[in-house]
This record gives sequence, C-alpha cells and structure tokens, in this order.
Amino acid sequence: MGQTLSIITFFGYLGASVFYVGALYDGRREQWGRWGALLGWSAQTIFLAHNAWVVRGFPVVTLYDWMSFFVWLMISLFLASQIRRSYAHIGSFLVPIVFLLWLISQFLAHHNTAAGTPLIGGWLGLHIALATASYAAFLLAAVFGIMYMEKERELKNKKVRLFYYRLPPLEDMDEMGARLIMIGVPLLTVALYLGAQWAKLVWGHYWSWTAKETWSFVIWVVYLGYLALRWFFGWRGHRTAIYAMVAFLLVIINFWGINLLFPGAGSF
Amino acid sequence: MQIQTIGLNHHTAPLEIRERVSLTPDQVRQAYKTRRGFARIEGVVIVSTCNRTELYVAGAVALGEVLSWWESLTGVERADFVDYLYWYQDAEAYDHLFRVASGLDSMVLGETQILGQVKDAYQLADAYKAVGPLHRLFHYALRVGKRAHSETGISHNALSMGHAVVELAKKVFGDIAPLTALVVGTGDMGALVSRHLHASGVQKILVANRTADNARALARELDATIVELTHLDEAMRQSDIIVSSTSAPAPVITIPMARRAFKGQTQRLRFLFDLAVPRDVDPGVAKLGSGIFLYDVDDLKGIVQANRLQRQKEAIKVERIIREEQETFVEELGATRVGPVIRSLREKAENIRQTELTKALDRLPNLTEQERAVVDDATRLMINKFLNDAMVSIRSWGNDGDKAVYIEALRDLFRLTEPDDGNEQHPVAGDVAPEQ
Repeated sequence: MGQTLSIITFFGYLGASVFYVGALYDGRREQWGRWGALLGWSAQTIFLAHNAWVVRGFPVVTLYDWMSFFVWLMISLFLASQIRRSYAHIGSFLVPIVFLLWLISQFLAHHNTAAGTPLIGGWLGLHIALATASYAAFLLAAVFGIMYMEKERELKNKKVRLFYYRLPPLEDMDEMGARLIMIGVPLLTVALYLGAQWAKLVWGHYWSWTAKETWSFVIWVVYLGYLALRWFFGWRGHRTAIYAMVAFLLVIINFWGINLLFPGAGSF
Repeated sequence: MQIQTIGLNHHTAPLEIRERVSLTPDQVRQAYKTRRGFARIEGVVIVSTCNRTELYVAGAVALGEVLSWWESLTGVERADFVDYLYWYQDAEAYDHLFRVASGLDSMVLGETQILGQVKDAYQLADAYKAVGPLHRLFHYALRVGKRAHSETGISHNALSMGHAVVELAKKVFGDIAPLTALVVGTGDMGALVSRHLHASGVQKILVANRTADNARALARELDATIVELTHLDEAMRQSDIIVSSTSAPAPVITIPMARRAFKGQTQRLRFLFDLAVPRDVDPGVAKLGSGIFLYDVDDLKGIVQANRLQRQKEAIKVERIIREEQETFVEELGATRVGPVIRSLREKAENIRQTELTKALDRLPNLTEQERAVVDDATRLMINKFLNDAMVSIRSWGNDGDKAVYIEALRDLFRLTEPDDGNEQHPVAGDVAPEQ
C-alpha cells in the first residue's frame, strides 16, 4: 500500500507543479493544479496516518520521515491559504520547490537513515512539530522573497511581463514575508527550549554544542536579526527579501548538510 | 426566422456621419412606436451609442425597408450613409452582437461600458414590447459580456496614462488609500493624474505649483493641501507617490534634493512619475535607493503598450467564449424552429394510435390485463420505430437555413396544424445580474 500511495503522491504533486507554473500563463490551469495538490496531499495524509498508526505515535523517526512530514505541512498550509484567492500564485513558486523536497526525501528513504532514537516522548514530538512549523514559515517567507525580487526586477527594468500581472503588490509580499518570520521565530524559540529540556532529560545536559545544535542556534539568531533589522533599522523590501532567501538557505544547510555529515543526536 | 444587423460604428464611419444617423433615446422610442408600420418586423432592438448605431431586426424584412425606416427616423437620406453600413445576417449577426457586448468591437478593447449600453437598449425595447424573437439572442449576448469580464482579463490593465499611474502604484503598494501623493505641476496632465488618484481613494494629496491660483482650484476640487515649491523636499519626504509634470526647462527634482528628502528612508517604497517633457526628475534619483521607482512618459507608454498586448491575449479567450455561446444559441434556435413540428407529428401519430387501440381493444373484450399491455406496447413501439429516423432528420434541419422549407413541406404532407406557439413566452434576461 505504501508504494501505491507514494506513486499517487508523486503524480499528484508533479501535476500540481506543472499546472501551477502553467497557471502563471493561463489562470484556468490553476484549478487543475489545486486538484493535483489535493490528490497528492490526500495520498500522503493516508500514508502518514498509516505510519502514525503503526508506530502508535508521531510518525517522524528518520530524516526521510521528517522531510515528508515537512512537505505535507507545507501543502496543507498552502491548500488552506487558497481560501484567499489573491495569493493563488504562491503555488507557482512553492509547489515545485516542495515537490523537489519530497522527491529528495524519497531518495533518502532508500538510505534508510534510521538515526532516530527510540526515546520518542511527547515533548520530543512537540519539539519536532514546532521546529517543523517554524521552518515551514521560513520557507514561505523565502518564497515571498523570491516573488518580491521577481516582481521588483520587472518593475525596475520597466519590462513588465508575467510577474507584474500575476503577483500580489510588492508591499503586501514584503509584509507577508515579515509576518511569517514573526510567527516562525517564537515557534523556533519554543522548539529550542523544548529540545534543551528533552536533552537534559535524556543526556543530562541542556546544551552540548553539537553541530546540529550550534547550527539551529545560528538560524535562530539569524531570524532574530531579521526582525531586529526590520524593526530598529528600517530594513524593508529589497533587502529583507534577499535576507529571507539567504536565511532559508541556512535552514536547508541545517537539515541537509549537518544531518548527513554529522549524524548525531537530534538528527532532524 | 431571420435575424439581421444593420449598422455602422467607429470602424466604418467617421464621426460626422455617426452623429447624423445616431438615434437619441427619444428617437429610439419613436422607432419602437412606429415599427408596426412594417408588418414583417417581428422584433427589433436598437443599440445607439456615440461609437455605433445598430439595428437588430428579426423577421423577413428587406434591407430597403429598414433603410427607409431609418431615413424617416433621422431625416438623413440613405445615400449619405449607406456606404458606411455593415449588414450581417443570422450567424454573422449573432457573432457581431456577441463581440459588441463583450467589448471586442469597442474603440478601447475590452471596455465594460458597452455591456451596460446593450443591456439598456434591450430593456428599452422590451418596455415597448418590441423585442419579439430577439429575446434569446440578447439574453445570450448579455451572458457573453458578463462571462468575458468575469472569466477573462479583457477589461483588466490600464490603457491610458492616468489609469496606468494608479495601476503601477497599486502594483507596488497594494492598497493606495492610506498613502500620501504629491503632485508637482497642476497643468492638464497633473490635474488629470490627481483626479485619477483621488478617484482611486488616495486620501492625502499634496499639490505644488508655480502659480498658486491653479493649484488652489485643484486643491479645492480634490480636498488637497497646497505646498510651497520651496518646501518641496519636505513634502517629498512625506509622500509615497510623487507625480511631476511641470513645464520647467530643467529638472525640478534634482539628485541633491531627493537625497535630502529621502535621507534615511531609501528603502521605503516610493513611486515617482515624471510626466513632463523635458523631464522634471533627474534620472539619477532612481538609483538613490532600492525602494525608489521612477517612471517617465515613455516608461508609462511601454506599460500601456504591454497592457494592450495583454488584453489582446485575453481577447482570444473571449473569442472562445463567443464561439461556445454561439454554438449553444444556434442549437437552441434550431430546437425552437423544429420543436413545434416534431411535437405536432408525434401528437398526430399518438392520437391515431390511441383511437385505433381503443377500437381494437373494444373488439377483443376477453384479453387479460397482460395481453392488453402487450398490444399497447406493440403499437407504441411500431410508431416510435417508424418515426425515429424522421425525428433524427428533422432535428438536424433546425440549424440549416436551407432546409427551413422542408419543415413547411412536412406540415403540408401530414396536414399538421400550426401548434399555438405564436406567442412564445420568453423570460426577460433575469439571470443576468445588473452591471455595477
């Protein structure tokens, strides 16, 4: 059953990516994209629910699980946000990125990096879920950053084409990106706190400066920096858009590089 | 039933002709009152705007008759305008009306006003009970127009400078109501753009002009604040949208001035429109910060040009809608043409069957309920099978004007009486929402 569901998820998200990009050119393809996303999402939901049932708990053990869960969360958020139609074109950027992440997670699955500890407690589940949610917010903020840059480029070059016509106003995208980071930072803060509590419980100390912990701390500081620059130094628009994009690169390095290079505790 | 369109528009006729033969609402009313003089006019709707005057006529009316009628209404001899006319029949006439209603035939591609005008024309005709068999056609036309505007972007994106300024501001700021706009130079262009900004809801407008009188009049009209030219940099500092269109020979907004005005706020989004020739804003101002956008007249023209292309792309989608609706309309029209004859033929056959069946069953009193049912079925199947091929053929005649005569032949052949469908009940296009 797992394989069938994965195949359905693959075609659902693939179709969604193609149609959402196509929707930039012809809006009617958007609803096809939405159906594709919904199909893939449903298959993935069943898959995750099934896993949760099997392990009798939060279905995230390996890095592969985590990425798959992350993708699922992103698509859930995206589909929920579709209620506001003015942001439909996020899909043209977000869905292909998320599809790519999902594909990579499938390749990781063959490595089967079962680095997870068997000590899955309630707090650990919450730690993972909150960290994931904050990363989801950061990814969305980065997507808004990309969209901002694309639209700004057309406006500055005065050669208006697709993005001028399709994307939301610059100021709104800037504002959305900031709001998402404002949501993401507290989530990450609580996630780090819970992680430290759990580490104390299991390993006896709150913080041990492993690569993973250090890098997570760096990310936290970087996003805190975003808010500081915005609130106290008047950073806006162009600069914050780039900042959000670069900052998310750090997140990617975090769960790619560090997890694969230094497989230690807290590997997701 | 024949439907024809006789008319002229901005493509075919110059203004001096259009204004002479156009019909005022009163003349149109007069026309509806006098239409009874032309016995063969079964229905008529007159669409008359500043860009077009068109008569949609149903019935076997000769072109000459319509022209004499038009002559009598306007007092202009046909020789004066006949060269500018177009004359469409049936499918071409529907197509034309659908294109008109959707704005494809308008001077400004995709404008929405014409849809309201078509609707008004239809309602006026309806008030005089003049629409007759044209009800369904106009019902479809209004639907085409409505679909064109809701399903495509044919009416989106500005095609004039004034609109383009507002559009660009919205692309950057989103909601422009809470913004502050500064207008430097209150000549024609400055006043025009200010009015556009005001109409789009910009609440705070500052105006600056070399002669205060001009500025004062505009400020009163738009509830704006007057700013001294000497304090321009302070006003610039407060403003999100800056429009300049003075006739000054040298830049009014220089780099040092802009640097002073935007000091410490170079990332704040700001849109400068330089609508003057020679230019009012030093082009270097655009490079002072990442949040600063500067557009001159040519840039705006570029946007308008891109918008026009965009509308032309959307027009292809509108054409698709027109084709779709036209197909359904033609089908429906065909069905209404052959519907009565099909019904009478079936009725006639069924009456014969019932009469003969009753007689036969009377002579066979000993049949069981089941046997009676078998006889009943057999006779019905016989009739149905016999008529089946005929029904298929008759239905296909509906959309073929050349075969209209077959329908008459069929009536003669079977001596079918005219069913009483002379006064078809047509709902007024109630499911088309009123235009905003």
